Amino acid sequence: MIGAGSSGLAAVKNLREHGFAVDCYERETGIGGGWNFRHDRSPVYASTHLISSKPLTEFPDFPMPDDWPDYPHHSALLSYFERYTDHFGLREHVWFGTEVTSVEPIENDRWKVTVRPAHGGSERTLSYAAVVVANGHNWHPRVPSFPGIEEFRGKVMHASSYQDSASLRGKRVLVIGAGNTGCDIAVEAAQQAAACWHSTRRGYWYAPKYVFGKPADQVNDRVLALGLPLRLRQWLFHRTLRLTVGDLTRFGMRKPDHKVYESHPIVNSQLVYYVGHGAIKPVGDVARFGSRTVEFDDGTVAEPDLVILATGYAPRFEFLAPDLLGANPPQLWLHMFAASYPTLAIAGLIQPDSGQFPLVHWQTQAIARWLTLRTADPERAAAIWAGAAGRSAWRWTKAKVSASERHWFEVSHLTYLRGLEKLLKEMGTPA
Amino acid sequence: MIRVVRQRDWYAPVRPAPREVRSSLAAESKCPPIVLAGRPAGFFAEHWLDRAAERGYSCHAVTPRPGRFTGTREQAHDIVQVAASLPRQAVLIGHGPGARWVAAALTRYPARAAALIEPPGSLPAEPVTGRVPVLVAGTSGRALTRASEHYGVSPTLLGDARRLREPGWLYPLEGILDWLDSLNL
Ligand SMILES: Cc1cc2nc3c(=O)[nH]c(=O)nc-3n(C[C@H](O)[C@H](O)[C@H](O)COP(=O)(O)OP(=O)(O)OC[C@H]3O[C@@H](n4cnc5c(N)ncnc54)[C@H](O)[C@@H]3O)c2cc1C
Ligand SMILES: NC(=O)c1ccc[n+]([C@@H]2O[C@H](COP(=O)([O-])OP(=O)(O)OC[C@H]3O[C@@H](n4cnc5c(N)ncnc54)[C@H](OP(=O)(O)O)[C@@H]3O)[C@@H](O)[C@H]2O)c1
Repeated sequence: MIGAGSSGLAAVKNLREHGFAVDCYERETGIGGGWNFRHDRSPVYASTHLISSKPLTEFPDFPMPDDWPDYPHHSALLSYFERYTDHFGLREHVWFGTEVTSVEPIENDRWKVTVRPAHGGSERTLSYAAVVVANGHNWHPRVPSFPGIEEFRGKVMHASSYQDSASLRGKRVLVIGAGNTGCDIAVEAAQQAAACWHSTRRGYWYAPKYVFGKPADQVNDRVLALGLPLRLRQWLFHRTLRLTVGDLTRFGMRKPDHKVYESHPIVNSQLVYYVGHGAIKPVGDVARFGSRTVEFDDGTVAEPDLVILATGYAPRFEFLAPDLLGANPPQLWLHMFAASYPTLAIAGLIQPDSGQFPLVHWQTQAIARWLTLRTADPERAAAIWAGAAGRSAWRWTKAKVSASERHWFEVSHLTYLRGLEKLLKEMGTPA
Repeated sequence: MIRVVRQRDWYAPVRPAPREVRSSLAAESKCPPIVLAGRPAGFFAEHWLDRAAERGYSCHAVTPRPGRFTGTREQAHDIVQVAASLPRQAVLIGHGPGARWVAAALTRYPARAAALIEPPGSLPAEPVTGRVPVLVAGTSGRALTRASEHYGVSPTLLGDARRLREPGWLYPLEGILDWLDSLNL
C-alpha cells in the first residue's frame, strides 16, 4: 500500500478484512493525507468544508456521527480518519515517515518495491505479491504558463500554498480558475481583500449547497433514483438553478458552455452572492500579463498585486515507469487496474460528483476480492480479466464531460458504483 | 446479494434521534467492547453490563429510539452509531427484538463478532459486511434453524425459553463471553 490518506486507509482495512498481510508506506508522520492540514502537501485551506453531504461522503461501513452537520469542516474529516484508523486497528500496519521511491514488476506477477526514510537514510528493497497505489491526486500543482507572466511584478502563487484569508487582507487579488478551490478563494477574497477579480476560461453552473431546504446532492440523488433520463434531469436542474440562482449573465458572468453534469460540479452558495454585491468581479480568460496589469479576453484590465492560480492538480506516479499505467493520462479499467499487471491496483484515482470515500471503499473491496479470487479460483479470475481487456478506455460518467485535462477521471457516482457492484457480484463472496 | 448502490441511504438518510445508552467499563481495555441491544436497555443494565465488565469486556446497552415510525432501519442505524463511536471494533449482541436490529446492523457495520439470542424469523437479504464470527443461540424452533443456516453456523441450544426473559439469568451471557474468549479477539 502506498499512502495512508483516506484511500490508503480504506485499502489497508479492506485487504486486512480479507485476510491479507499488509505493509502501508506513508511519507508523512501521520495519517489523513490531504485532509491533514499540517502536511506540507495538503491542498486544504483553513476554511475548507465538505462539498458533498455526509451520507454521500462517509464510508458505507463507518458512518459519521449523527451530531455532525451536513457539511463538516476539514478538521472533523481528519478526526474521522483518525477514528477509523484506531477503530479498525490500522496504525500498526503503517510505516510512517517512509517514502516509496520505486515499484518494478518482477517474475510471477510480483513487485520489487524500494522504500527510504523520508528524511534521509538508506534505501531498502522488498518484494510483494501485490501493490495498491493510493498516493492521491490533489497535491501536484498544475501550473499553466500565461503570456507575459514572467514580466509581472506582483506576487503569483498556486492555490496549493494558499492557507487562509489572512494572506488576502487588504490586497487586490486575482483568482484564476473556477474549480471548487478557485470559487472558495474568490469568496474569501470578497470578504477580506481590497478587490477581487475572478477569471474563468469558460462559463459554469454554480450549484448551491442547499436546495428546497435539503443538501443539494441528496435532492439530486432523489431525482436520480426516479430513473429519469439524463436530458430530463438536466432540464430539471437548469430550471431549478434558473429559478433559485437566476440568470448568471445578468451578473456579468459567462454563459455556461456546457449543460449541467458535463463538468465537475462546483458547489458554492456564496460566489454568486458576492458577485451580486460587487465584491467579486467576474472576468474572462487571461490574455496577457503586463508588469502591473493583467488583460483578459473580454477586454477588461485588472491591476492585482496578488494572483492565485486555482488551476487544479495533476496526478503523478514518480515511482512507476510511465508505461506501466498504459499512457498519460493512465488507461485503467475502472480507473483501477492496469491491463498487463493483474497484481497492481490504484485506489482513489477518480473524481466523483459525490464524496470520494464510499467509492474508494468499494474499489478497495473489489481489489481485495480480486486478489483473493486470483488464488482461490484462477479460472474464474482469468475469465473476468479476459472480459476486462479492452475496457480500460471505458468512462463512467452519464453525461459526456467537456474536454478539459481535469475530466479524464471524472465519474458519476451512480454509474461508477453500478460498475463496481457488477464486478463484485461477478467475483462472488469469498469463502 | 451484495448491494453497493444504496440510494435510499443517500437521499433519505435516517434522521438523528436521541437514544439511551448505559455503559459499564472494564478495568482494562484488552478485549473488544460489546454493544448490547434489546428493549429496554434496562433489561441488561442490572446484571449483564456489570458481569461483562467484570470479565474484561466494556459493555454498552443501547435502547434505540422509540416511536411509531421507527423500523428496523432506524433501530439498526442507532446501534451502528453507538458501535462506530467506540474506540475499537465492537462485538454486537442482540436479544429478542435486539437480535433483529443486530442482524440488520451487521449489513452496515463490520462487527468484531456477533451473537444473536432468539434470532428473528426473517433475516436481511443483504450479506454481512466484513468477516464476522457469528453465534446463534436460542430455544429450538424454525427461526433458530433458519438463522443458523443463514450465517452458516450450528445453533447453540439454550434449554428454557421462559428463563431467557429473566435478566438475572446470566447463563447465556457467560456462554457468549466464553465463546468470545475462545476467539482470542
Ligand atoms: C481543497 C480540497 C477539498 C476537497 N474536498 C472534498 C470533499 O468535500 N469531498 C470529497 O470526497 N473529496 C474532497 N476532495 C478530494 C480529496 O482529494 C479526497 O477527499 C481525498 O483526500 C483523497 O484521498 P487519497 O488518500 O486518495 O489521497 P491523499 O489524501 O492525497 O493521500 C495520499 C497519501 O499518500 C502519501 N504518499 C504519496 N506518495 C507517496 C510515496 N511515494 N511514498 C509514501 N507515501 C506517499 C501522501 O503523503 C499522502 O498521505 C477535496 C480535495 C481538495 C483539494
Ligand atoms: N470540499 C471542498 O470545499 C473543495 C474545495 C476545493 C476543491 N475540492 C475538490 O478538489 C479537486 C480539485 O479542485 P480545484 O478547484 O483545485 O481544481 P480543478 O477542479 O481542477 O479546477 C481547475 C480550474 O482551473 C481552470 N484551469 C485549468 N487550467 C487552466 C488554464 N491553463 N487557464 C485557465 N484556467 C485553467 C479549470 O478550467 P476548465 O474547467 O476549463 O478545466 C478549472 O476551472 C476537485 O475534485 C474539487 O471538487 C473540494
